[in-house]
Amino acid sequence: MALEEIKDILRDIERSRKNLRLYPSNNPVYLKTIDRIYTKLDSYLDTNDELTIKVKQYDIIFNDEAVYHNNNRDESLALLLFKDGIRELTFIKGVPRDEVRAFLEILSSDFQVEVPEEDIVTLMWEREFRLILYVVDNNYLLEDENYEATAVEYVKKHSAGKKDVLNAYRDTANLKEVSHIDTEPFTEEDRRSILGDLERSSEERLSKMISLLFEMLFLADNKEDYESIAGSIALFINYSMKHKNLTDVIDIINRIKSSIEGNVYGPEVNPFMQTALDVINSDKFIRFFGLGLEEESRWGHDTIYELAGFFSRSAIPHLVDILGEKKINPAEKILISILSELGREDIPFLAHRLNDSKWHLVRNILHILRQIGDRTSVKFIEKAVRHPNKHVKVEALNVLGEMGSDKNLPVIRDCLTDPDVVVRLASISAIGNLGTPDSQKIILDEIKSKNFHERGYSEKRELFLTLAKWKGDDIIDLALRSLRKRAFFKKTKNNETRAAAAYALGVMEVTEALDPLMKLQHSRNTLLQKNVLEAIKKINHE
Amino acid sequence: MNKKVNGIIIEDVLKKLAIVLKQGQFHDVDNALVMTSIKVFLKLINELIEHDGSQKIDLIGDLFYLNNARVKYSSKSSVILDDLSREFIKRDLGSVAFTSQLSIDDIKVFLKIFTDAVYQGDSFESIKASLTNIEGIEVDRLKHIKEEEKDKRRTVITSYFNAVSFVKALTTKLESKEKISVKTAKRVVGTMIDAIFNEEQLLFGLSAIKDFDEYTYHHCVNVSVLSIAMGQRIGLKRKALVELGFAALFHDIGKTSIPNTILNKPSDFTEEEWKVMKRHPYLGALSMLRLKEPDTSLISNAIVSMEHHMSSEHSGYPEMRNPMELDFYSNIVTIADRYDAMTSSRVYQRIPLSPDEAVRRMMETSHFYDPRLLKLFVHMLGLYPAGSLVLLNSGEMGIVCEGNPQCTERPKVSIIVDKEGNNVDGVTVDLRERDHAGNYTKNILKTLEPHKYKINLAEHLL
Repeated sequence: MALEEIKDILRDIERSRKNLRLYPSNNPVYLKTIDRIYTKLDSYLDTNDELTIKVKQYDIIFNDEAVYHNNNRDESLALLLFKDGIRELTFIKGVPRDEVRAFLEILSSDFQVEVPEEDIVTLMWEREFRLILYVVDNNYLLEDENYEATAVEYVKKHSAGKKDVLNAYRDTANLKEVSHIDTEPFTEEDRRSILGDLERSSEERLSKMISLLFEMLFLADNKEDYESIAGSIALFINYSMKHKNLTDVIDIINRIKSSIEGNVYGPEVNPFMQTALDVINSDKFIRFFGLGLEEESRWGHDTIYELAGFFSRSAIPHLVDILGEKKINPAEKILISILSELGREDIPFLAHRLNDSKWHLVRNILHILRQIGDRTSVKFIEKAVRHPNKHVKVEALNVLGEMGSDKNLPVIRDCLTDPDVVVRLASISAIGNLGTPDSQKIILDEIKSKNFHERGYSEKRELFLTLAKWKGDDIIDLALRSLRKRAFFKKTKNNETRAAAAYALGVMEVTEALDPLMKLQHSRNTLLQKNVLEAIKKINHE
Repeated sequence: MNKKVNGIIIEDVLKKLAIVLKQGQFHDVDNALVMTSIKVFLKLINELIEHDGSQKIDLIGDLFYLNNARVKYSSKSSVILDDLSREFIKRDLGSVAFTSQLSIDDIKVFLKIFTDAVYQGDSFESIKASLTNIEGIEVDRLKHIKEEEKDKRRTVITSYFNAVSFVKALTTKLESKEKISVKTAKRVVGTMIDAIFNEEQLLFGLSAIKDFDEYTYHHCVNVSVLSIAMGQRIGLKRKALVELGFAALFHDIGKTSIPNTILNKPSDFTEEEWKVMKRHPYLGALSMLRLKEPDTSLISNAIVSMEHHMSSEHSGYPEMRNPMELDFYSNIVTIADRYDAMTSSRVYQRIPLSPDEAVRRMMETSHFYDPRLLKLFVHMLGLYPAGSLVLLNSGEMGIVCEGNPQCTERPKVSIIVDKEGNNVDGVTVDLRERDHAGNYTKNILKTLEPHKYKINLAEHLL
């Protein structure tokens, strides 16, 4: 029975490694995995007081019986423990859940990537487990198994002979007696103040290291050293960003810049410093920056934009890459804002990324291009109007409406017949925004067309509203005619047109429209009545 | 890598023997398979005997030793060697010595005796009796070592020398720009911390090994030991102790970049040579930075390396344009480094100071150090640290083997000359002992320079 229980626990421990790596630590699966093992272990220890297992290369042994075997190098729990030197493990009754959890988390560590400089023994040792004990074979630490013997032999060989000792004794006769020395006690207060220093030192260690790097440049006297130190400065820029120390990053950048500008280390060093500075435009740095932006609240906006001010054109592709990965505010907003400034240095690149497969990235780039407002980008944007995603189309129409010209009218006009009403509305708005006689004509033609009657109210209203911008006699006349038009069939559709015309007349503040409007103020069609009343109010400046 | 003798990997010899003994249990000794294995084993063992003389295999605990050198097992061999140790234990066999060139028949007979012995009442006696006719093979009974009787001190001494040997290997790797294992370095520091928890005073004693040729490696370990001990007294957690011990172990890494002609110069340095020497903190920090990607241990290592000669009032080197307060770890390592260097006959002090004199000097020049840490250090080692040579008012002469943190002037002394002036070996007296009237029974009257008389505490500890 005990054997089966142990086998079961070990199987679960082996499996837990996968779950603990896969799920975040607050995920129910993660917590359940730990709970299950803890409960089984606790239940076993409740009746057996302790569980001691011996670890072999691929096997785990309990009382000379194999309770676990797995020779798969990637999965074997036995091998995982064995290769770091663990030969025996003991769990003692009362082992707390926290200890079991920490133990399982250590086993599930990614020793290749996350903690490449740690091993299981060091991690367990650092945790100071109380009720999980282990026996370690430190044999592999031996560099030279004969070293001790050789050293001992040397010491013995060179030790004093009896004669030397007696000579020393004889010489004591000529020596002065020792005098008393006062020693101050090492007090608890001393200890506490030292611990305070330790805390301070730990907090300041990174910025101190950075300061030392700049000092080291004064001590360097050859190109290789300049390059190494500047290379380290670059690594520390990345490291600081990885640890979200944005102020340290800015501090380093400012120091580099002022050292170059003030020629502090001499012309030989400056190119290396410039290279170090360029690391902020690298993919790695910008990825760390992106991760930091996800917790933007820890950085002030001013600090973020101060850093952004140091980015150069070569940062654009990487910023765009992380923009493509971010879908959640506020990172997205900040990146758009940064690229709206920086992006003007490489509009062809931004335009090129309009071909990206991620629709939200294309939409964001369109938004950026719109913010930049450079008309040279218009030629790239036309293509985006034909994008399959409606959000992209709408954004592209918005940009064209603001930055385009009559040349773009055919493309925009095509969207008036788009199957999606949102796109059609954006298209009307874009045509209106262009504000040219040609665009006016398109709107007019659209309202006069046979199809107009069949459009929805929102489109009709948008078309009339857009037309109202021009406020010419022909437009007023068209609106008045539409308002007065009565129908015997399709009354609802006709009333929508009249309501839209009424709204436009109100916007244009056409006083001569008051009469026909007053006549309709008691219309039984609520949509028409509502728009008529609004128009009357507007014309009367109420 | 396991040790090689004459191109033979020691681990292989044991493996081949294990195979022979295993096959002998299932096949007749004349079986072709057994014969092949015997021939392979014979070739190796006879070559070793020819090259190195007698070869003795010992089983101590669960480890094998060949001629007193521990045989390291690769994980691949552990199964077969574990099996071999079980077979030895079954027969109560503790060692087998192959003392002269062997023939196939010798091994065949040995194999038969070994196999049959398991069915005898006293397996070991049966093997021993049967072997009387074979010259060249001798056996000993297994020494049963009770776990609780294992000598803790032995383990600590081994940890110390392992650490020194590790630093030596590390230095060689660094010099040849090989990759070093930070993982292993951390494990080594971890074992040192454990050793300090168990036998701190013994380690202080071992750090008194000053005459040994390999000063640089011992120095790194000594500084690490003293730093960890200080950190432990302050109450640092294990993680911080590893960080501190690690930084201390690497504090002099810059010396690997100093030409050996200067490092090992037997006479005083010229001004130019001093200039080069004084660059080692900078070179150390640079080496660290070149070693790996930034992380917390790299940062503390580089800082300590750069600052360990600066002194807290910045009168040391290298000079900083914008002096900064020394790092906490640097302050600790500075003290440990200065003490160990002062008591060693190397670059910083051609004639070493006695341990007690070094402590006095450090107290006189306390402005160089963090005063609180210096106080801690003095209380940790005492005014007469381990290794000090003292004359007591009783007329006895002895060597301090243990300090006493509660009473800095009253360490434990190992007497080497009695009051009649005769050489004696090793009675330890605690100078805190009082007589009936409450007076101390013995006091330190005079101190001597142990180095001058080649008197070294280490020889009494090992």
